[in-house]
Amino acid sequence: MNPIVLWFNKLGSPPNFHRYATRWMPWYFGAALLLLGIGVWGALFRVPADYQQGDSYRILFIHVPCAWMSLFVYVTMAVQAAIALVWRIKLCEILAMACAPIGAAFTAITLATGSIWGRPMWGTWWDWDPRLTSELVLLFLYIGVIALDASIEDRRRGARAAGFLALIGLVNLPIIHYSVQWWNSLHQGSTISLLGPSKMDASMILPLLATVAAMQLWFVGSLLSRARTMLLEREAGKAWARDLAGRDMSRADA
Amino acid sequence: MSYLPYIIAAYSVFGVVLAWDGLTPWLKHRRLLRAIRRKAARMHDAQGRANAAGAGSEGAAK
Repeated sequence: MNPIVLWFNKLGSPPNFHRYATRWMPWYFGAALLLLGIGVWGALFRVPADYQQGDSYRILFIHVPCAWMSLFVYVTMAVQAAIALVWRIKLCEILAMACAPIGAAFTAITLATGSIWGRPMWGTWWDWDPRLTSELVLLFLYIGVIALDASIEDRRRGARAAGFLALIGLVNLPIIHYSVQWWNSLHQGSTISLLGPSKMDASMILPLLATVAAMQLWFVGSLLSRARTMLLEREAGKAWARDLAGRDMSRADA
Repeated sequence: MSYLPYIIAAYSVFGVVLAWDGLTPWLKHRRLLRAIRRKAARMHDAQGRANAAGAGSEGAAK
């Protein structure tokens, strides 16, 4: 068998995934915190104030990465849900459901920090602008996925129903992305472009890239942490879970 | 105009939500491990009592 396919097959086994997640999760969190420290320090103390927005634009160094992550996590959740629906892979169901609270957290940060930035810049905490409204719909979609998963007693049926809702919600992503182009929006257009030239000054891009990378690593760490917990909850009666709990106790005693 | 209160508020929300996201599953994982250990210990005790009762009744029969 192809070594990569073999590795994925082995990772699909619950004890192997739990061991893998426990081993790598702290490294992802550690690297995320290190990069976040560098990015936030640069955003707050190194980059100059914006000539129009003054210091208020420093909020955007956390707002923009979280906004990107709110979309990225949704795509990841939908892909995992599609795999789980087609091939009935239990680990993919768990990973899809583990994405939902993380995506909801990123969306909540996006909405809250955008609102805090909007108060001094737009003169209002909230406006029913297409970008803001579609991002709020995204938060409701995440909450809907979490609620639907929790409301069905059979965990596997719950995850499949919630996965189906996640797939339907994909239609909201292009609306969020293109809302600033399709409608006359209060929200500004994109400042950073991955393919073309950016409208942001070069000195401001490095801290932003650091916080973007930090949020990506945080997502992987958080996904591993949530997935291993959900896996342990589902498999609490299995021998590997009892062995793990026993090993954990003997380590604590030592 | 000072934007400091807005910056502090935004970064505080960011920190609190990330802390919640990082800590909640970790605490739940610890709670789950404790619950599994307690259940295993209860099962072990019940099995020990059943074995002792079985040995006692065998002795009485002899």
